[in-house]
This record gives sequence, structure tokens and C-alpha cells, in this order.
Amino acid sequence: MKKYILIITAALAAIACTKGNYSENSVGGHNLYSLSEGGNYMMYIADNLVTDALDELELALSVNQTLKDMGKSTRYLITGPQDLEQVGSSWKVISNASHMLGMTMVNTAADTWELTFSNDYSFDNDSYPTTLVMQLVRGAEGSRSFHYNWSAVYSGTRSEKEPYSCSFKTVGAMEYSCTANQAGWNNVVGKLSMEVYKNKEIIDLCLLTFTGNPANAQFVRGL
Amino acid sequence: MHLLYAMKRIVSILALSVLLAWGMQAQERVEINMYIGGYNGEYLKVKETAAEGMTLSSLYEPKYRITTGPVFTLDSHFKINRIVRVGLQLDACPMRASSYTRITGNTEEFKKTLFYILPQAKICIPSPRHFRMYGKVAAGIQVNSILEEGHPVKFAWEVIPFGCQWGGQRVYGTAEICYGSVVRGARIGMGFSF
Repeated sequence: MKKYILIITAALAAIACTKGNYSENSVGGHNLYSLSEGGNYMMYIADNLVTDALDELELALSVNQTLKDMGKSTRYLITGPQDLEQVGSSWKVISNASHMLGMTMVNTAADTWELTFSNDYSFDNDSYPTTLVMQLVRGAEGSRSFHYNWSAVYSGTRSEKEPYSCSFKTVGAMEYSCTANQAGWNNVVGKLSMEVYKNKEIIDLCLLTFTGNPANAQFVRGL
Repeated sequence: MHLLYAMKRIVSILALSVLLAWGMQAQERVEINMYIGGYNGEYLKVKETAAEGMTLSSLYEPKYRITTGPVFTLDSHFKINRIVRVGLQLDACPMRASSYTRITGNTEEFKKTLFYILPQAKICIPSPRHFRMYGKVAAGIQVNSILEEGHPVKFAWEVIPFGCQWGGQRVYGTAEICYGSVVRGARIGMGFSF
């Protein structure tokens, strides 16, 4: 009997000496984070969101031009995963495969377009309702033959799970241009500001300043 | 309504007084037990941690890592009858916490002690003289000032489905399996009866 009691005692003592340890979302690895985290969030706006919109517009322009050159006119442009539909004088993205589903593109003047988007959009697999209104002026054709340089003025909002949301807008115009041997718009100049809200009250004002290479953008918060 | 409420209060106080007097009169022995136990509380859910990812909540909500335990427990009972004992349990649990906010890069560290006060009832199972088995239930309060939000006093409870005492009648070893908001795991300790 004594032997069993000793074994039970030893087992219980071992259990008793364990400590509770909460590791979910642990801060043990906090060195991985830095102030650039907020900048990366704004980069999703200035880079991913805006260039996805520009890609759709250039696709519409490209296919439209091709059709004109061929002397054809059609309501639908079947271009693979990024199908577009002509609605009056505007184009609308109708492909479910596109990140910009539902975005409309209107040619408001010569070389000037207005893009309007309101749908879910993913930042690193986190998809939330996002709006974007862009005024675009086309510049010269970039070094990459299938891209143009663009002058963009835009604003928008993003509503995440309560209580957080944000609004963003450019400070003046932002210039997106292409340089040789690089894919996409690899030269960006301008400023993007973002207001962050918690329970609909502003808690932060951030500014991301681009001076050329987007990787060198400067992020400031708490303004 | 006020009269009914007052009557209910008077009846409750009388009933408690009778129970206490009966208990004090019936007491044959008083037990005092000291334990040490692991901890796995649930109060952290009050401050839900933000998910990783590129979201504003993950940037602005602090993330917590909290280490707790061991829990030090002192309890005391007196006999109501051969089966039932009633008493009070006091617990103290050291807690070390650090928080990190991704957007600011700020870390904070703090240490606190959680306290528990739980009236309890102990059910003794007829068992051999040198190996006595029991079960317990306890309910009371946790006093906690570490959280930024929420009330510092909250409900706490514990169920001991199985506990045992071994050794002599006056000095003995004791161990129990615990589940609840104080300790989830086990306690081990020693006790005195007089």
C-alpha cells in the first residue's frame, strides 16, 4: 500500500509543479515586429490595392484598343480571369477571380479616368469591406511597354471587424511610374495619409511618404 | 415588495445563523490544510488577444503573454457530521504578465498576485483509516487588479472530484484533483487536524 501511495504522491507533485503558460499571440517573439508594421498596412493600400486597380484599367484600355483596331465592338471583353463588361460609357470588372470585382472605370476626359470600387479586398488573407475612389491622369507610356505612368488622386475606407476601421487619402497627387527592367510601377512619389478609428473615434493619424523606390517609403504615426 | 424582500433577508440570516450554530456545536475536529498547485485560469479571456495578420486590430490591440502559478492554498473545515464538512478556502497565485503592441513596438511587464476567497463544502467518502477520500465544491470570489478592463472582483469556483488524505489522524499528507477557475490540475500538501 505504501508503495502505491508514494507513486501517487510523486505523480501529483509533478503535475502540481507545472505552471500555466499562455502562448497564443505570444509576445515572446516581439522582436519580429517593428514600427514598419503600420507602414506595411498602408503599403497594401498604396501598392496592392491601387496597382490592382491600375492593372484592371490598363487591361480594359488594352483590349478596347485592340477591338477598335480590329473594327469590332462588343459589350463583353472576355480576357480570361479578368472579364470586363461595358456599361454605357464605363467598364465594370465582372470576374469573380479578380481582386477588384465590381470596380467601375469611367473615361471622364481625354486621358482621365475615374475608378470606383466598393467590395471586400484582402490584405494578407484578411478580407474586409474596402472602398476606393481614384482620379487618374494617364502619363507617358512607361519603360515597360504595357504600362503607362499615372498621376493618381484617391481616397477610400476600410471597415474591419468592430471596433476598428480606417480612412485614407492621398496628400496631393501620387505619381506611379515604371522604370526599365522592372515589373509594375516601381517608382512612386507622393504622400498617403491614413486615419485609424476605434469605435468610430480617431485614435491615430499616419503618413506614408514615397520618394521613389516604394521599399524606402517612410512611415510616421501618431501625428 | 419591500416587506417581502425584508422578510426574505430575515429568514436567510436566521437560517444561516442556525446552520452556523449547529456546525459550531457539532464540530468535533477542525482541519487546516496547506497546498501547492498548478494553475490554468480562464480570466485571460477578458482581454481577448488579437489575431496575427495585416489587420488594424492586430496592430493596435496589445497582445498578452501571462505566466501564472503555482497557487498556494490554505483551507480549513469543521465537521457538520461524519460525511459533510464546511469551511473556507484562501488562495494566492503569483502572476507575471507582459504585453506588446505591434504598432508602437512598446512592451510592458507587470507582476501581480491574484487572491481567491471561496467558502467550500467537503464530502468525505467512507474509506480506510489511513487513506481517506473526499470530494469538494467551492464558490466565491477572485480579486484581481491586473486587468485594464472589467471588474476587479469576479466569481470563482472550484470542484474537487477526488481528493485523498493519507497518514495519521492529526498530521497527514493530502492531494486532490481540481477543476475550476482557481486551479485546473492538482494540488498537493499537508494538513493538521485538532
